[in-house]
Amino acid sequence: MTFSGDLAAKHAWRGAFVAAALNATGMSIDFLLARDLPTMPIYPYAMSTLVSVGIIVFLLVRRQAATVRLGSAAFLANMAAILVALWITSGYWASSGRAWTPFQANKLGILAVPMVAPQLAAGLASIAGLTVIAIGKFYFLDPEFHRGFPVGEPWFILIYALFGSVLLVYRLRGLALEREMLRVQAEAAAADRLARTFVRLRNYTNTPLQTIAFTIELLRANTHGLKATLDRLERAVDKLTEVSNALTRYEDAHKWSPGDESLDATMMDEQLFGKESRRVHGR
Amino acid sequence: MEPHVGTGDNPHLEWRVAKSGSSPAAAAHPPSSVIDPRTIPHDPAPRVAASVIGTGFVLYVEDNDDLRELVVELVTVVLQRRCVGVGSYEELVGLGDEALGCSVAILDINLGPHRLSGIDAYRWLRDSGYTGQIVFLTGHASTHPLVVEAKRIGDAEIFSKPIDADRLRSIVEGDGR
Repeated sequence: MTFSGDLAAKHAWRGAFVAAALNATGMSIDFLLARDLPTMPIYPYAMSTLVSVGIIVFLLVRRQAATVRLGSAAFLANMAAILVALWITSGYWASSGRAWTPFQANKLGILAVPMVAPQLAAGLASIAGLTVIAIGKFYFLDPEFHRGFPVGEPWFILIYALFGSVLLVYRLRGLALEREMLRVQAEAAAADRLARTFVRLRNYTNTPLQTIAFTIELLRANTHGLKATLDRLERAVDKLTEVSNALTRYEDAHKWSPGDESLDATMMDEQLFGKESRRVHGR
Repeated sequence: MEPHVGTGDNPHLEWRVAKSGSSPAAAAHPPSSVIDPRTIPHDPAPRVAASVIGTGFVLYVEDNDDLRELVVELVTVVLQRRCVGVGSYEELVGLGDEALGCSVAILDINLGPHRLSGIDAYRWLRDSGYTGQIVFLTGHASTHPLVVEAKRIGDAEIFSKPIDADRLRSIVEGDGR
């Protein structure tokens, strides 16, 4: 999984988890508020709460294997439980004869979805579901109950749906931008590490190269009959020098940090060649 | 670590100066050089006092033992010039006024981690009144902080390792700029 994908999966997991927790909390509070209604059944609240608790447990179990798809599936399952519960309970609220602000839970849900939806499709589906449930329930109710509703209901929820959708798109785009920035920063950090390695590799090899180059010159002066051999050795040094020169392009890419310049040779060895190198070569 | 002295007068003769004290304290009280009378079977070079170094020699400050000894030998044998090699700032300071007789000073910029650098060696030479040519040699990137600091000095050329023998010759002969 890529770094960006990893972060998206974490966002999805967290969004589904928070949505399930809000479901459990909200349904429990709604049940407490409805306890004075003798006809209000307990099963919609119990069902929704149990589903949310089950989703929470499921998400905790699958935390290490979180994916965006898993988060969206859990989010939609949680939303389905909420929609069923709201469909049932809203009818009882409307027919209770008490003053009731219609579809408050739906409106609250529409505003909460943009904050926690794992993906655009899951979020839009949830907002649409909350909207359709409210409008559909309105027309399923006895028209006698409509008289107690505020003017404009149930169409106010469409305004909520519009705002919720815009907020959803805005948040998801912000998250995507944030993930992209983090990805670019991670790539820049990786590039800097690579540049630092190349620069140190070059620093590390230049003195031995110099030693070999001067040794060749000394051998040329001191020995005879080795010209062909020394020429080959010199060409090899030239090739290595070309490699060293090629690595200079990374000099500008590497930003020296305080203390880098005094990097201990042992540390440099271990960074470049691993801890075994010094033991093997006995340098 | 002992400074290596090669004489260009006799390319087959290598001089080694035995020196006591290479600690920072030596900077304040340069130790007197002594003649090491020992003869090392594998190294027939006689050991002499630093005072015989004289003037007009090449001074090479390099912490890498192999390279330092090699350059001393190369300058001595091939370029026919006397050359003194020291491995650290402290050893340079230990030479005292003898060091100021060089015709050209070649300083490795980085003399080891947590050690005084070639730039410190440069400052010591200038502060001591040395007015001759100073050249920096470095294996580090041009963006390395020590190299950047060396560039600011202005009157010292900086060469990147590896240099070839012709470049070394031009430096030693004083037309390396």
